[in-house]
Amino acid sequence: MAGIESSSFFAAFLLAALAAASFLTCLPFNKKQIFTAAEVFTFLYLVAMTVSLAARTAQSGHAPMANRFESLACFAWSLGFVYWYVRIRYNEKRVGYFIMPLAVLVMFAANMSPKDITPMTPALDTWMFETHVASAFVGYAFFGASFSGAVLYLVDKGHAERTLERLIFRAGYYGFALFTISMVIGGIWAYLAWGTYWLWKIKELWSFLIWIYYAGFLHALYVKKLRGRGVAWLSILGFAITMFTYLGVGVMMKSTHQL
Amino acid sequence: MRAVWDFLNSLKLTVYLILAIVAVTMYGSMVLYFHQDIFGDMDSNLLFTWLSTKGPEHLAYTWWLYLLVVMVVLLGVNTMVCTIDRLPPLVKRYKDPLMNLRDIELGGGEGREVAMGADGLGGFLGRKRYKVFTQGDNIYAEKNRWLPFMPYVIHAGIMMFMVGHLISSMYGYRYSGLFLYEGETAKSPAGDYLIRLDKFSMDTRPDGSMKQYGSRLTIIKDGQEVKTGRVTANTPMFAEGGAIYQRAFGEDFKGIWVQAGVRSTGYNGTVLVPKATGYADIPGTAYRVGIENFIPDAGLDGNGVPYARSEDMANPAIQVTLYKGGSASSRGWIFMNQPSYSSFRDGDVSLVMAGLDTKTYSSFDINRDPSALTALFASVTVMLVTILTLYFRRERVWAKVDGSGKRAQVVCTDDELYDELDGRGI
Repeated sequence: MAGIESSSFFAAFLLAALAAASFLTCLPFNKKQIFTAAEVFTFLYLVAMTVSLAARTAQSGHAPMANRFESLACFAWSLGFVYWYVRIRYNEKRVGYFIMPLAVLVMFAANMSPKDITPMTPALDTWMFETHVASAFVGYAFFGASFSGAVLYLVDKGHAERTLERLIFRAGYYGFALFTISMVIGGIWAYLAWGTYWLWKIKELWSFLIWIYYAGFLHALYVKKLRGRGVAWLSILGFAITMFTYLGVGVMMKSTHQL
Repeated sequence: MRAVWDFLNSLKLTVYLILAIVAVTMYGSMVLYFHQDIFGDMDSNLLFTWLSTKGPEHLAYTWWLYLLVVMVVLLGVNTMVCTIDRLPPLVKRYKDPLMNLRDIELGGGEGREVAMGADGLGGFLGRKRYKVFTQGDNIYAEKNRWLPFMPYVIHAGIMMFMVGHLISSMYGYRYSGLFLYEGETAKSPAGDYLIRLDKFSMDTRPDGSMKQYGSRLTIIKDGQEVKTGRVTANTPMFAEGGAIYQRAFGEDFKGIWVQAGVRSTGYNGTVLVPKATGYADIPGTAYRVGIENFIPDAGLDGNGVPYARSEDMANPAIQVTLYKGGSASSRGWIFMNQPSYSSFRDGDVSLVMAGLDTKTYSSFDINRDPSALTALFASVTVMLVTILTLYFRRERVWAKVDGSGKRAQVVCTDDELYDELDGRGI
């Protein structure tokens, strides 16, 4: 099982790199064949990551979220999943310009992390932890999709504006809904485990920050002055906050809420 | 007054207030992170207790918290005013959807012409689960009419959560670190009842890692056992209006067994030196063993002096004093894991550390959160309604039947409905 896990992980890493390279090649050379190749690589990447995570789950007996490697691998999987969601729902493949290079960076960070299987501590060994983390990661990935739509909207003005506006808002809303699930389940779990649903810790503060920021983002759509470019910029800033919360606060700064 | 209401009723205020909250929280999070000496005990106190006691002592670092509280309260008021202002017209419109019936041209004029009269179109939309309203030759239909109320349910949930959190921040209770030994009973700091630790237990996985740990507790009130249960890592015990949480656990020693040999009397046996008194007599002799120091995990420094490497019971060592006829005759260190080595020297008496008389302890936090259920209900409501709004969309149809009564111009928000109407169009 360990062999399947590691070989599919490295295959996924390679496929992500090929997909990202193909998407980036599409920027100067807008060729249909290169787009098709990028999409094939992205699809295979998602399959390989799914196999890798499933094999790891079978090996460890718990969802792959117990340490930094697993957390980053889950986030990388979420990016692939959200790419395909956006591709099917909005027929917008250009989000791959941003999502797949980001997936490569996340895979690289995962590859640099210790890959040992670590047991779940008793406090983490609950469905609430798994739901909390999984919904946060898929939420982050949707914020990434909203960000991608926003960048496309700003740089490629005039092209499929209405679709991109819908993508920015709807992906932001999906991210917000998933992040709300993460916050609420996390709060209930924290109450049962630590006696309070809120802790004055840096990760908790930044998680609150993401949630309230995107609540504001959803309201901004109804403020005339902010429609269009304003909302696009807010989406970009929102994703920067999200990434700082996950990678900056969660991984680089010391916290009891490490991941 | 009107100006104040209008100010609080603004969506712009919502957005800019949120951006301000984000900026202040970003700043504050860094201050909090780098000044744990100031903020480290916030979680073991109620927010408002902390803000009224420790906060003012360090205003240069804590001012942002007061500002954050004010802004969050203002956001709550903003949410409430927006809800009060917008909800009644929404209810009115729900009851009478034709009151604001827009003319078909307002739909953008991009509709389709279909070969259906009022009855046919009404029947078709009804089968598509639209609620159909007719006024003269105008038809208005709507699906998922309840959806516009959902943002207000979310707002109500958020306000309820905020009020609950405010109440808990003022009237809750937190106690950290109630230590109990197995079999010990102590008075609860949170109320007029007793807590007894019956048993602490631990489950491990085949690889030796810890799977779960927990304590079986009994709550005693007025001399009666009123509740018994197991408190584990994610399962508190709810009792007497509060909740008891499992925290740390470990082993403490209540005494030390010393193997004593006295050459002059021929005595050879083990003596328990209780931790409480710190000494014990060697039976049938004039000797007494006293314990001066205890190190759970001892190492030796360059001068051969023991020092504590950790708090684990990895290499226990004791410093003993031997008394003869009431006065100290010699002193030295003995080590449990190295029974043959001893810095203790006495011609007549030999002492070896035979073991620790240990007992298991478990520690607990006791919290009372008067609004926990309110917060739970509010947050779960917000979560469920947010999910609901992902799956349902409010769809609307406007139609105007022409003079012949057999054709209608239709405008709808659901593009897929056009495709189905196309099959019937002309």
